[in-house]
Amino acid sequence: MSDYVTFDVMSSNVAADGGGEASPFFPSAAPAATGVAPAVAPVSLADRVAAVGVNRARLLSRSAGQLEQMVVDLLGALRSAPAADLLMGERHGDGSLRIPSQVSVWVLGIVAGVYGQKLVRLSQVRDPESLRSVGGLSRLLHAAIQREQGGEGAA
Amino acid sequence: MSAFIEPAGSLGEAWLRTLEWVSMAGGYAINVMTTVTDPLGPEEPAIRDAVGAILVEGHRSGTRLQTVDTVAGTIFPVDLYVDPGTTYEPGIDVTNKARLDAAATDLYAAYGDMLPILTTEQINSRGTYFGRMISWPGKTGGGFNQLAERINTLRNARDHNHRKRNLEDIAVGGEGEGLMTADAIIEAGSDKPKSDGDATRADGVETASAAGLAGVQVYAANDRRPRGFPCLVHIDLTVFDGRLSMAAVYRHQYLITKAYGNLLGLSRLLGFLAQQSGYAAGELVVHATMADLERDTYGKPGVEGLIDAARRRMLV
Repeated sequence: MSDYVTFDVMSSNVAADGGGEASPFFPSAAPAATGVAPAVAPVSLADRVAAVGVNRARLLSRSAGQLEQMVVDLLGALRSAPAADLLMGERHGDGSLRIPSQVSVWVLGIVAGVYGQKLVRLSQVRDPESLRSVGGLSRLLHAAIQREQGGEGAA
Repeated sequence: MSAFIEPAGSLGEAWLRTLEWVSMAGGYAINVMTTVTDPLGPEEPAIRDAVGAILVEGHRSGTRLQTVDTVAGTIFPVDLYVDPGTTYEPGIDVTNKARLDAAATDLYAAYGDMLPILTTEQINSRGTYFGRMISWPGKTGGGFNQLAERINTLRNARDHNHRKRNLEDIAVGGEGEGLMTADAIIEAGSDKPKSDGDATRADGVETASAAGLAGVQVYAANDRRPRGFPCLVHIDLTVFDGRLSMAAVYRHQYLITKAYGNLLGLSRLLGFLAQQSGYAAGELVVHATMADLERDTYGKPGVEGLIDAARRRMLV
């Protein structure tokens, strides 16, 4: 609050209501990890992602449907949650799991790291909805891999 | 003429009051200060629905539109943060501290994973706000993590029961002066007298200048951009009466396309810093040096319709 004295000054008076507890920080629409966290050292995100076992050979051999399962496994690594819990989340109009576009971008980043190059450029994604579902993202990835293998360049 | 919008508890009401004031002012105003007194409180669904109905992905009169969540995610990517379910406190046990630290580290790592992809979007070609916060200057990983350092010093202050403090800032635009070395940060966080003067004023407030540390934003001398990223240039963090408050400076705030999402993202960022530092969340203030109601984009009837719709829904 400013020290200037003015007429009709408005004050937010942030400190006046004491030190009451703030509301919960991040209520999430996404399914959270269940149960009480074990008293062991947390496993890092990098290690959780590595445990999914994504590699270039797997990416090349997967159908769009198989890529969908891989994407769900990666989401589980990101959220530290079992895939079964994640699959109970909200559905997209295409019938697959709805995901925030930012999470899709994270998956694309992981895949690019494994594949060795960026497969998808955001500026060339024609339908933003493809980044909002596991199915859409998997189809986008599959098409990009197919194009890349066919020598037509990244999507 | 500057304007101090009447503070509101929810970010939605604060946003709507700002729109109403700038509308009465003719569509533009300078030095507009918007205050949210309970930034971690729930959103007003009626207001969120009204703005959400307009902000759908696409273009409007040449302006790129993004959803509220997308805009908010540029400041704090909440979808990449797994809430550890605990809050820092002095004497916190090893297990809970490890959970807190791991959640923050995972957030930084996840954002680093996505940064190369994010910058393939034209709108992110100069980097992203959150990228600048965790990896200055923000276009690639491996830069200076301002958030991690600010959390370290705030935790240190919390451990020493400091209830007034304004050492921390987050540089977003230009060249941030005082992105301190680890040694300087450790010294700043300690209770030892500083070699170049007392870091605490007679009234007990720690100050950056008194500590010989920079807290002032210095803009890039070669900045010739007439418009564009970044609009958010600086974030100040202040502890007062044991609460952590945030003030963000925008040099041009787009009140419809961006402002609601900006407030939401900043609120989430404040929540993250409060959780990680152990301070209760104070107020959120946004200072827009130019507040723009965007009548060129949405038309005067469109803007007034949005304001009316949001206000009407609030009254239902």
